Amino acid sequence: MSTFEIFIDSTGEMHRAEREKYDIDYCPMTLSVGDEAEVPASLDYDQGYTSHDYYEALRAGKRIFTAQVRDSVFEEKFEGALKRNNDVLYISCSSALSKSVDAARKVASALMAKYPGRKIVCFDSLIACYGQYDMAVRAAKLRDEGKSLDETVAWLEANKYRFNQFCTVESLKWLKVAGRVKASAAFFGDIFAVKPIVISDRAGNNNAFKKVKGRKASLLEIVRLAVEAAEDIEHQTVYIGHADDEETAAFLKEELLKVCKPGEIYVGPLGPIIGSTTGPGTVVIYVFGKEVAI
Amino acid sequence: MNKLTGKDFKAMILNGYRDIKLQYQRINDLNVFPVPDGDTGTNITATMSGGIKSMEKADESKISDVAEKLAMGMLLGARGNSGVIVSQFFQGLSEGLHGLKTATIPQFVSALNAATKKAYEAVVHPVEGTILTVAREGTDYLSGHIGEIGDFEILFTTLLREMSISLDNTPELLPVLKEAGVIDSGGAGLVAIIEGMGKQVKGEELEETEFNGPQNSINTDEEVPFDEDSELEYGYCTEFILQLLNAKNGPKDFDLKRMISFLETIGDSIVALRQRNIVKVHVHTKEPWKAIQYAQQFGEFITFKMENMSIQHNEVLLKEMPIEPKKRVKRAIVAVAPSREIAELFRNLGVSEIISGGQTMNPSAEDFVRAFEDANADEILVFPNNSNIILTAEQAAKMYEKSQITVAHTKSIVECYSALGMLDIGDLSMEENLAIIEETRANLVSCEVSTAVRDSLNNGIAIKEGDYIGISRGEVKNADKTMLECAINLLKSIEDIEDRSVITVFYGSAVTDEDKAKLKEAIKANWHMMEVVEVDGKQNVYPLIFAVE
Repeated sequence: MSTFEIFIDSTGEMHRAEREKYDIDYCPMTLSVGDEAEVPASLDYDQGYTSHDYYEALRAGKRIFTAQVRDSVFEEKFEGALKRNNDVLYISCSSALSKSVDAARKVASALMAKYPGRKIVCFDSLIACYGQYDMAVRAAKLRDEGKSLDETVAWLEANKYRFNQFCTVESLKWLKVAGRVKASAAFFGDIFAVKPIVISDRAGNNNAFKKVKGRKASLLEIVRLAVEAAEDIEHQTVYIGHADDEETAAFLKEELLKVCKPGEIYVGPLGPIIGSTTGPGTVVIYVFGKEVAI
Repeated sequence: MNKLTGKDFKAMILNGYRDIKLQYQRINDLNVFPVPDGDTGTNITATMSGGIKSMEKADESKISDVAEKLAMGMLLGARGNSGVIVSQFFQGLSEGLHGLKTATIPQFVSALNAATKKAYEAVVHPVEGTILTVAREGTDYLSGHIGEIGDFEILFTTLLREMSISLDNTPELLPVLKEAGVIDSGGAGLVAIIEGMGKQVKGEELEETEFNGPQNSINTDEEVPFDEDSELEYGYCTEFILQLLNAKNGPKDFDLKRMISFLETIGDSIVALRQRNIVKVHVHTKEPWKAIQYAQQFGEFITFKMENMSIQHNEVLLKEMPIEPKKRVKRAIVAVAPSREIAELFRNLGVSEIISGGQTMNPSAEDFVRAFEDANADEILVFPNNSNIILTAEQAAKMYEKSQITVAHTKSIVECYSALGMLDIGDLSMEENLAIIEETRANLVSCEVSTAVRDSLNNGIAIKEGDYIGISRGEVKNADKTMLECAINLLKSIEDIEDRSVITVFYGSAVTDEDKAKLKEAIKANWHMMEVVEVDGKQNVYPLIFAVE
């Protein structure tokens, strides 16, 4: 019986052990640090840079350049699956943040013409990082339960707005440099201590939907929002991502545990693709629950 | 005398003005806090001066016209809460005298009662033990004893006597006055005016003294910001209007760009424009003579103004020369700022018009009107930033009809600063922005450190002259020997400080780098996760102002 293989990409943050556990593969984007050569953006920190190193490079004023997944990568990965007689489910980084999903769809239609009867679904997660991760894990679990590709995609379609992101950054500088925030300049002013709360909205944009005074207040606010948005938190994994700020991630975990009992709390780094636009000190909580309203 | 003509009334008002000019310093010193920021005397005198100017144009043959012109000028000239209340008092008096050529005793007493009524209406929550009580008790007494008043001399003697009794009683009605050992300063101002008016009736003309106006009042304090030990820190705000002269070949030889390049070598903040053969120049420089010498090659000065910027100053000429009329905008923010640094900060946060002023220099209603004019917006949001300026802003808002004006009740620069960072003036409605302001205000504790200029007992705390005192929400919280101790104890007095994340500190002009470093260290030591945002506010009177959020 043919089943389907699940792919994510480099913003999915899933390291090797987790990918093996859920039988998930990824299509790497590419990145380069400063004027160094471009390399595939590995999820395993096996290219000479630890997570910390990437942020040190940013702090030192180096820019990290990133690029969407190359067509050739999709061709190789997808065709490999097709040759194994498997269909493909690619759960992409939000199309508002990366154009990878568009490239994948082009590659997919060519491959589907080449392999009649086979199916490749390129699913726009409308989120990134551990939201994308969580989506892939839930898809893998459905597959393990014996659900078909169509059934899994139908579930994803019906539930895609229930993946919530609550993020705050240490400094607005990085988002501004990268031009990655959808909000008017006036929204921020140019003021110290004002921290935006950034969600992934229904269009998949990083949307700075409100601002809060002070780092501590912003951390407490994302905890509050996450708990408010979560459903059945006792039986889910809550993800905390951090850009080289373990101390703050630990603070978030502690605060979460004060107010709820998540099934599990997974704390992990934010990789260089997203991290280079949000900057060191970014922290984010992902929960599954109510639909994103904005 | 049992009939008052316009001419009599005008002479009486002039004498009242002379009297308050003689007393305004003493009235300034009637300050609840032992901090040299009392300005009630200055404010009432400045308010009066606006009326005096406007009264010059009055038709002396009608008391109603004299009173009306006086009131009109006072409404515009009103500064500070007491100034606004006094201006409303005279507005009420003018309404009471409406249509009269001369006033009889019953007519004048009735007008005085209208005056008191109007003064009360100016205040949303009238407080007894203030100027309002003094006005009311004085004028009520006259109404009740009108049969005993044979002439205007008796009227004013009686009014002065009753108002003085009422004034002496203000500490019994207002505990803060009693504790500080002072009488109400606004009431004292009104009494001074009434006293002068009464003296005129008796033929006693008072000595004419100079009133330097609010912008200069600071010079008469003990705390002169520039003395024999000072260094020229900012230079001079130099403004002039130059007429290019044919005799000097000015119209032909003068080149604006070349002059600007020259001015850039001696100063900054340069604004220079040429309108045909008139050149308007503004420059901040430590060597103003160089600018003058340069300009004089091409012409002569029509007007000239130069002020040491270490002392509060007004950029008058710039205001009088609208360069290009600003485009009408949908929404704009007008804010009061006490120093150049804070004005700059506010501008960076989206304020379009700054009114120079603060605790020791309350702007007038007219200053607001001018700022509204300059803002040129459909809707204007106003930040008065001092409890003694809110009423003036509201008075100006009522008088101005070309924009929809909303006055936020911010009582400090800190409240304004805090709100500005959270506003979204472009995308949100006035109501939504007002809600944000209220929310930030509710979440904000603002407090400040100052030094005591006299021994005092306040809020049960014994204060020695020279002590640093911590004040929060209008209450003295602590008094200590050093600024650092005072600051930390003041912050500790905030009950929920553990739950707060940011302390923004505005450094006064006298705070050293060492003080700043020590303060930051002490805050970090006490509250580990607290963020400290530093603003070099260079404000006077309060070396440290905190916003705790």
